[in-house]
Amino acid sequence: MIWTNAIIQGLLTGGLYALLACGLSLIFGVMRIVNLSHGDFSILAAYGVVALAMHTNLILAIVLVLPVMALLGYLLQRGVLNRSLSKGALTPLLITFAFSIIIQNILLQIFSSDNRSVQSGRFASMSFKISKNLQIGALPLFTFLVGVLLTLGLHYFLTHSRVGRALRASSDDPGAADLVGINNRHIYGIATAIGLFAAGIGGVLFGMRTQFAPSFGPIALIFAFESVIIGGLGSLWGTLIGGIVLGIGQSIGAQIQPSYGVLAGHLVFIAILIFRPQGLMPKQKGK
Amino acid sequence: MTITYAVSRGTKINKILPFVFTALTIALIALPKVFAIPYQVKFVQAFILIILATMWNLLAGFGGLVSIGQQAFIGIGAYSLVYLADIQGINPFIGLVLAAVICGVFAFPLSFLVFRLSGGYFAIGTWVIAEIIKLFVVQVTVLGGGSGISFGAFAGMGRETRIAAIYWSALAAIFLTLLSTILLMRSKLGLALTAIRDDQTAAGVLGVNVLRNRRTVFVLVSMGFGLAGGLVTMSNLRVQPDDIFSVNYSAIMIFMVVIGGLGTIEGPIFGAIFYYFLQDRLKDYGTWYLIILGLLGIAIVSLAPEGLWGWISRNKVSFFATKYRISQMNKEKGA
Amino acid sequence: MSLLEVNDIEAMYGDLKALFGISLAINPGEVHSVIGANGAGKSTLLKVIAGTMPVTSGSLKFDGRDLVKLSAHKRVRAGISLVPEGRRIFSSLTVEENLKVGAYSRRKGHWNLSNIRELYPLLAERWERIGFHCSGGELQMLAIGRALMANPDLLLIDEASLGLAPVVVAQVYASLPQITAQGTAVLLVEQDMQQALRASTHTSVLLEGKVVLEGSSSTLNKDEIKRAYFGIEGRS
Repeated sequence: MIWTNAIIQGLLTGGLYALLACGLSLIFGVMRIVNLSHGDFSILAAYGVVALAMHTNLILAIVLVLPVMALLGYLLQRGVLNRSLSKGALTPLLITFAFSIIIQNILLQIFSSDNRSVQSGRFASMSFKISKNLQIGALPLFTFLVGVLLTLGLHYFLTHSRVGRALRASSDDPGAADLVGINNRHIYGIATAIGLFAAGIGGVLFGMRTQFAPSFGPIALIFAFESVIIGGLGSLWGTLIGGIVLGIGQSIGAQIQPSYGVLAGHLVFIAILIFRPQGLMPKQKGK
Repeated sequence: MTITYAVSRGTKINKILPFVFTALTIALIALPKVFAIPYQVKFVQAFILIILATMWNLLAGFGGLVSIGQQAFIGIGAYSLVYLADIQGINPFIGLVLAAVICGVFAFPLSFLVFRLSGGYFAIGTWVIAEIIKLFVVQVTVLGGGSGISFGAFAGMGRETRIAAIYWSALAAIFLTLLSTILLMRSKLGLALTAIRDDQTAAGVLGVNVLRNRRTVFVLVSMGFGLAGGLVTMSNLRVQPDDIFSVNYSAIMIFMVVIGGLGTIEGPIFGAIFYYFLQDRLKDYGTWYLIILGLLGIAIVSLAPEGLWGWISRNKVSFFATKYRISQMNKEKGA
Repeated sequence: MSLLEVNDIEAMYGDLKALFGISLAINPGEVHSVIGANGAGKSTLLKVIAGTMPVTSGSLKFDGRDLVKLSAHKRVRAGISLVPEGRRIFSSLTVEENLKVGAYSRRKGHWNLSNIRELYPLLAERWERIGFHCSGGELQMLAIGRALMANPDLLLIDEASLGLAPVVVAQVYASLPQITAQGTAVLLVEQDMQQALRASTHTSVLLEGKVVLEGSSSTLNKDEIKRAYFGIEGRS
């Protein structure tokens, strides 16, 4: 029964990882940029909510912070990253790595290295008793549902909306996208805006269940990245599955020994890299 | 009339440079006899930075492999030195060389793993590997676990002698790495790498084994990082897992190479020296120093993508002549 | 005032000059073909009009508006659509999605999904097929269909018949009258001289970046054209 519990907890955690990862996946899918600061932006959002929640209630803080994340993404993409796209693969990596360092140190400067958390009151400790040995926390369940919903929402957006189609078209062939009237620079901005919006949601929910510090960005990035690779590049559903597999791996590892959790997740990642490098649900060629 | 061309490796500057370099080398070897300890320590730090920059540039600029996980080998080098010199009692200077070899031994199988990724995901992948290696090392109690371990192999050596010995080791290390880099780039491997960097598919079609060449660079470079890790350990007399495996090393390497300019041999050296003076000035500013570094990096990469050295030299000046040049031997007027 | 007025434009292709002062004019409903040997500058001309390559001198006026300042994606909104060389279909999108994204600029007009299906029945059979899996002929029709979805006033077609089976080429050319019936002008680059002359109202022959012959397609003399095409006469 303990194992069932561990698997379910891991599954729910997977939803959080999927949230953190889908923005990374989208930005890479559209622009081939790997945003090395993705985790740091998640943490930035969490800090934003912490700061605002001191002056207003939690819901309002979240409602204010998330659009700001999207706007920040749009501006950074159009202002800095778009320029770097034509300069080879190295430049965007360097720039996003620099973003990572800058964000971490600005946060360190403002908030110091003390652990913080996003206070959600009773919500954080609420849980549903399923059976004698099985309890499901409200927050993990909520996070998981948000993860699934966002993945669904993004999938629907990409396949059924005008802008979503434009995003996919730009990703296939930016030159041809030009020819149907798509302003690529703007579309890339939209992609990053969505990506950071998702990162923000992930960061806030992460902050509700764990304490965090400015240096947590990288670990969030690593979990997001591992989810993407386990699930398979190019597939949003793959990223969700990848997150779930990673979560379950970590959970089982932690069940064996609490300090083994993260390492177990890494080992799952390595195993996929060795035995199935294309991931569990890879995108078919051309699809 | 026919125009004849000559193919040469360098320009006029390259004729006098060997003499300049020999003089410089002699001066550097003699340094500990002339200058006090603080200077030797500074030079060691600068040498380590130059090694890091040169190796990262070799990997990324010539090998086309952008890694933010090379701190894995800095760490493996450091811990190998501690294990060999402290625990096994081997002479630390021999241990330094062996530590580099051990890095190469680890790098070979790791390359199979990490080459399954490409581009930005390769970058993060190397970082994850570094984190994993750190997590494993921290489990080994004989190596000090999470709190680190002291480097005691120099016990019994006088301070002056020790510092001078470390200085000469660092000098030998930098000499070795620079020489290897130059020879490598002038060799068939270097040519292959340049071809791969310019157009991977075309190179492959022409018979260049892309994977094997990249693997060779990856392994060779790991040894350079191992040397650096060993030197850091010798200088600090201590290894701490969170420091030696820190991704900040990658940040610094990237910064140095970006400043200096990717893809030349002079560039990273310039970048390392620039960074050395910069961090010397800024280290009192704490977190602001890193923020400034980041902003400066973004500015240079966006505005002068060939780096400061590249911008200054505009690819006309090359101290280490590795590229071929064509010049006209005789010029005919009219046609 | 013509729909499109190209006046004395010059353009570079990298370090080389590709166009040396080209002029032409097109009116609504006309089909204007541009023929010439490889490297004559035909594709460059279309790219310059579509905005994917810059002009170094000269003027481009569309519907009275100066085009030179307008970026490529804005020209689509203005009413110019290019069917590029190589078709450049979005390979991960289905035929239907490719057409839908063609309507991104939301220009009003006659063309929509259902009448494109009527224009090119072959596409209707491949509606759910991913672009990557389409054949050459399907790609060409899809590319034209996608450009039509933007309801252009001027349709540019680069290398209409290149690499296509004669049957497919015939279908493509058979669709032109329905396109011009909407008032759309067509500027088409074509390797096949005969096909170009048959389908167009006017023809320009390009040689080494210059217009060496132009006129009404029905009255141009075949020998004149051949000489102009190959540059046998009139070189200085």
